[in-house]
Amino acid sequence: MQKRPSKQMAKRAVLALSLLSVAFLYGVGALFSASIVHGEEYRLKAERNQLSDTEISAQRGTIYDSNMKVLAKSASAWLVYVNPSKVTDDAQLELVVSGLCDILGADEESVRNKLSKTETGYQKIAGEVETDKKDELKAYLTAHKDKKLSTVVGIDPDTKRYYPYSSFASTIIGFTDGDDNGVGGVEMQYNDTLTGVSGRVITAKNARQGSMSSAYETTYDAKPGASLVLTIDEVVQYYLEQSLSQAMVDTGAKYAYGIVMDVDTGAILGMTSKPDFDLNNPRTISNQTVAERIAAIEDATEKSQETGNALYAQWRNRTISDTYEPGSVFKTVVAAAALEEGVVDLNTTYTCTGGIQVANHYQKCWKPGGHGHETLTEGLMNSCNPFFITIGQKLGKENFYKYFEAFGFTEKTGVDLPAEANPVAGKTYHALESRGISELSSSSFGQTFQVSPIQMITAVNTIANGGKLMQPYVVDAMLDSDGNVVEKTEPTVKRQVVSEKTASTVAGMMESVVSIGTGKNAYVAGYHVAGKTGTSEKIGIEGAYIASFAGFAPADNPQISILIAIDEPVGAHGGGAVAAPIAGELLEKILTYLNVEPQYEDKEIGNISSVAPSLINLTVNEAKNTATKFTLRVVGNGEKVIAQTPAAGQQMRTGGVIVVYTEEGAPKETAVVPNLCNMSVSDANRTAVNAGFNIRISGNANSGEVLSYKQSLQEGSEAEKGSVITVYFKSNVNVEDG
Amino acid sequence: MANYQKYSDADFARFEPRASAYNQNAAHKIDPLLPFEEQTKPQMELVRRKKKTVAEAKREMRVGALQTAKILVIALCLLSMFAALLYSRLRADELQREIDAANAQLKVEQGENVRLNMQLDSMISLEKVENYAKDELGMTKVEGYQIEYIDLSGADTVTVSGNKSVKSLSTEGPLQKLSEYLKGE
Repeated sequence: MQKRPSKQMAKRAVLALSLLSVAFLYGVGALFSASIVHGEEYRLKAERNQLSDTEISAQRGTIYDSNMKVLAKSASAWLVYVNPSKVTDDAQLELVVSGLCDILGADEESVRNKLSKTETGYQKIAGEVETDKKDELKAYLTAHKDKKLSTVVGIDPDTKRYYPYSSFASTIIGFTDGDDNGVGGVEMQYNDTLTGVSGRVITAKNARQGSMSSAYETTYDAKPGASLVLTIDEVVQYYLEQSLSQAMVDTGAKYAYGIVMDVDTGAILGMTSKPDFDLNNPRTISNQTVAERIAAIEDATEKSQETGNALYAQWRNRTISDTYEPGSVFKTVVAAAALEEGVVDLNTTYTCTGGIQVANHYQKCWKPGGHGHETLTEGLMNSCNPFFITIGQKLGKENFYKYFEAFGFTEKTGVDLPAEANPVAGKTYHALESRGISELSSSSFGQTFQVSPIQMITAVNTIANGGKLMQPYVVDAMLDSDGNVVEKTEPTVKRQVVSEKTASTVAGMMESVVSIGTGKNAYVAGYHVAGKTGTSEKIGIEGAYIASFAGFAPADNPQISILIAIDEPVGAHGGGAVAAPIAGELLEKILTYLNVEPQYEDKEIGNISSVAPSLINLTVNEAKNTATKFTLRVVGNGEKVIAQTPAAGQQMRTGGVIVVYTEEGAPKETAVVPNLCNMSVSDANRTAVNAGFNIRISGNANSGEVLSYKQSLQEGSEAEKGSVITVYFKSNVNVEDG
Repeated sequence: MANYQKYSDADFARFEPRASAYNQNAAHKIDPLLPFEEQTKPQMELVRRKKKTVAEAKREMRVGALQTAKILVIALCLLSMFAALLYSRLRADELQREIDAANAQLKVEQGENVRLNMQLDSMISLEKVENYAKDELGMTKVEGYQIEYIDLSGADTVTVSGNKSVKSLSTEGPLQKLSEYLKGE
C-alpha cells in the first residue's frame, strides 16, 4: 500500500514549483527582451564582436591617351600613422619624430603637433607611401625594437595615383585627393566611373579577436573602376604644350592657352592652359615667382589665402573656365551670318575712311586713315572694324542674335570637363532686348561681350565642318577591367548653323586672311591654312591684351581646327604678330604628324628650295657636273664620292652647300652654327652658306618684308657642314588687327 | 481523514484483475500452462554456475582479446580520423594564411610593377627623348619636307622588264580539269 505525500512534502513541492515557475517566467521574459525588444541591438553587438568587416578598395581606372599611352594609373601603396596615446617617454618620441622626418620627409613641426595629441589613438602622417620607403621605415622600427616604436607607428595599405608625365595635359586630366576622389579635369568629371565599387571581407573572429579560417569568411569582390581613353593625342598635345611654353618665354605673357580639335567629330586632340602644374605634386605652386612671393608673406592668414588662390589659379583650365573678348576672330561668325542671310556677298564693297559714326560715338578703325575701298574678303583680311559694324547693322539685332545663339555662344558647349564657363545674358553678352545700335555695332567686331575659348573654337570649327556645330568631347571610350570597350562616344552634331556653301565661302575668305591678310604669319607652305587673327583689350586692365588666332587646315579639306590665345603679352600684342606664328608652326608640325601630304603650288616650290642630287658613286668630276646649281665642297683625295651631306632628296636652296666625302673613315667636317635671326631670306641664306650650311624656310616668305625670328639649330652649336637649318620667318607689316 | 479512510485498500480491490479475466488474456491463452500467479510473483532461484573447462576459458579469453583488439582498432581509427581531420584543418588554415600572404605580396609587387613602369614612362616622355636626341646625340627632328609620300590609291600592277613574255600561271593538268568537271565546277 502506497503512502500519501505528507503535508510538509506537499508544501515543499508547491514551493519548489513556485520557484521553478518564477525562474521559468524570468527566463521567458529575458528571452523576450533579448530577442524581441533588444534583438536588433544585441544582434549588431554580437556581429561586431564576432565578425570583422574589412573594406577592399576598388582599383581606380586608368586614363589613356588616344594611342593607349598611360596618362594616369593607380597602384597599391602605404599609409603611415601614429598612435600618440602609446607614446611612453621622450626618448621614444624623439626616435619616432626623427624616423618619420628622415625617411618620409614629413614636416617635423607637424609630426610633433600630431604626437602631442595624446588623447587620440590615430593621427595620419603620410599617405601614398611607396614600398621602398615603407620597407625603410619598417627596418627602422625593427632596429629600435627595444623602444617599442611599432606600438606608436602603424602602417596600413593605401593606394597611389601615378601620373608618369608630370605636368603633361594636367588641366585636362586633373588629379585625386587623399580619399581618391577626383579634383579637376577628367578625374573629377568621371569620378564615379573611375572609382568603381568597394568590396568587403567579412570574417568570423575567434576568442582572441583573431581572424578565423577562410571557411568563416565571406568576400564581396571589389568592382574595379572603368578606364578612360581620351581623345587627346600625346603627340599633338606635346606639340601644343611645347609651342605655348616657348610662347610664354618669348612673349613674357601671363597665360597662354590653346585647343586643337578634330574638325569632323569635335574631339579635342590637344588642350592646354599655361602655366600648369605637376600632377604628382598638385599642391606645390609651379610658378617660382609666385611661390617666392607667397613664401615672403609673414601673416599666416594672408599666406594661406594667397596659397589657395595660387593653387586654384594653376589648376584652372582657362580654355573652358575663362572668358575673353574674342575681338576680330568673331568677324568670321558675323561674315557667315551675313552671307547666310544674303545681307552681303563676295562682291559687296565698302570704303573705310578710318571710322564710322555709331549713335553718339565715332568708332575708329584700328588703322588710322582707314583701309579705303575693299571687298568683303579684303574687309576680313584687313580686319576692318567699320566694315563689320556696317555688316552687323545690316544684319539687324534679331538676325545677329539668332546666329550668335546658333553658333553656341549663349550656352555651354557641353564639353565633358568640369567648370565650364556659363554664358549669362546681360553679363557675358548682350541680351536681345537690351541690344541697341551701340551694342550691336561693338559686338559686330567682337568687342563688349565675352566667350570662352572652347566656345570660340567650336564656332570656328563649325565653319570648317560645312556649317555643322559639333559638341566637343575629351573622352572617346570607356573600358572595363579586361580592356573591353563598354561605352564609345559618338560625335554629336548639335545643329546645322549655316549652309555648306556659306561655310565654304567663309573658309575661302579665311584662307585669304592667312595667305595675304593679317594672318600671314600662320602661313605654312604646302598646306592651305584658313584663319583669323584677333586682338582684344582686357576689360578693366589698362594696356593688357589678349592676342589670338583661330583657324583650320587644310582649308580645302579641313582636318584640324586650332585656337591659340596669348594672354597679356609684353611688347607686341597683335594676334597677327604674336599668336599667328605660333599657330603656323604648330599646324606644320601637327599636319606632318597626321601624315597630311603637303601640296606645293608653283610659287611655293620656287620659294622653297631645290632638291639635293644624289652624288654617291659618282667620280668627283661627275659630281661637280651634276651639282652645278650648288656649292660643292670635296673632302678627301679619293676618286669617287662615298658620302654626302645633305643626303640626296633633301630640300635646300639653290646655291647651297653640298659636302662630299671621297675617303672611307674621313672625319665629318663641322662648323659653328651662325645666328640667323632678324634677317631677310637672302641675308639668312647668305650667312648660312658662308658658314657651310643650308637653310630651309618655314613660315610666310612670299612677301618681301619678312624677317627670321627662330632657327632649328641653336646659334653657337657645332653641326656637320652641309646640314640644313630650318629658319622661321614672319612679317611685322600689315599684321595688326582690331 | 474521513475521505482518506473512505478510499481504503479494500475499496481499490475492485480494480485488481480477476483471475478469470486473466485467463481470458491472449498471452495466457498462448501459454496456458504458466499460472498467472507464478508470473506476477516470480520465484528467486539460486543458479549454480557451471565450472568452465580450460578450453572454454581459453576460448572466452580469445574472444575477449579479439573484442578488445576490435575496440582498440576502432578507437584508433576514430582517433586517426580525428587527428587527420584536425591536421587537415590546421593545414588548410596554414595554406589559407600562405595564400593570403601570397596575395598580399602579389598586390605589393603589382604596385611596385606599376610604380616602376610609371617611372620608366616618365623617363621616356616625348620631351625627354627629344631633348636627349637633340642635346646628347646631336640629332635633328624629321621635318615635313623630308617625308616622301607614296600614292597607293591605284590598283596593283605587274611590270615585266624587257620584252619577256609571261606564261599563264595556271598549272591545271588534264586530271585536275577532269576532277573539276566531275565536281561540276
